[in-house]
Amino acid sequence: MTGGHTHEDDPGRHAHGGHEHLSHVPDAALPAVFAARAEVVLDPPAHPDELESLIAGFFRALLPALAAAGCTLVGHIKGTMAAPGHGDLAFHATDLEAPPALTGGVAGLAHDAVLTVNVIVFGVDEQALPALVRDAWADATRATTTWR
Amino acid sequence: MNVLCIAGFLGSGKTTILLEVARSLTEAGSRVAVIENEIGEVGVDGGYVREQGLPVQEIFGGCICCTLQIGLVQTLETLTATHSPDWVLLEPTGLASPGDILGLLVDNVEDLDVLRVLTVVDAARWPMLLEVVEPLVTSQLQSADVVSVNKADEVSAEELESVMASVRSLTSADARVLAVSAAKGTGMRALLRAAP
Repeated sequence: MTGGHTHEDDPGRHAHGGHEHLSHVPDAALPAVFAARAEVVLDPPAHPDELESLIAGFFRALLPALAAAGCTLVGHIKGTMAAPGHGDLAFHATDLEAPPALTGGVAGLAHDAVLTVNVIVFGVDEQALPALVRDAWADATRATTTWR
Repeated sequence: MNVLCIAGFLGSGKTTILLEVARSLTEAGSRVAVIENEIGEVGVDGGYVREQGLPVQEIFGGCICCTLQIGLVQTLETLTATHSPDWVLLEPTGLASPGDILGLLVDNVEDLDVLRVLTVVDAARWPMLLEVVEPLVTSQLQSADVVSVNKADEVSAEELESVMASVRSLTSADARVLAVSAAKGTGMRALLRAAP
């Protein structure tokens, strides 16, 4: 047995790769994993429906890119767009062909937001996955984005 | 202490069902705490569960059924010390083998009164999952006390019956298999009676 990273309040900071974390899964069933957080500055500030459009645009760019990269199965793509003091917009998808489900939402105009995204897919080269996600986000928005 | 492990493949609806189980147990007077395990090093579900008012411990960057076993044992000890829960609801990654988690807990945790596994199956994707990741999803059924065939509202009656038959053929004879739609609340009353 080995130790793990446990935390109650600080949810980790960097992208993950590495199948050493899934020693019980057969190689043929190993997914590619990318989880990251980004600070997003929305200028001009975004209305709630604009944030929803932003997430929808992100998925319109990401899903075809994953398919083109050989994705055979979406484990899940999930995350949140959180605007401090204004709430969270949560999203998730399990299908290359369908738009994401959205829950929650942000009230009022959001200027600063934190994007958290967790992508687990099968059939995609894990080394290529971070760039696919970041490029899809860049295609969807001109907002200044700093990935952590 | 009682532990309910809510297992199942990625995107099957584990977190939604966990929150319903937590609400039901809390309304019945139990103290509930949650452990969320995610493969990536940035968590999503823990924050959402915490917003529902539940104490949550998160374990990142791997799977508690294999490489993060000590993390799980330590986290359970921490939760016990800080919250004295009657029930711990444990949500492993969607790639975890619950049988390995059961063995780990039995061998390493004292004062376990009840230890059960609820496996959540995505009815809408079951045929595809059997095609692409069969060993993984079938292993998730083998230790289940209860199986929730979720998203039953997203398939036809014939498709649902086919999924139910497939799932029953892969579970132990005494496991309960229940069709539900956690998002719509259908079948949840029976599940909440059977799971904990």
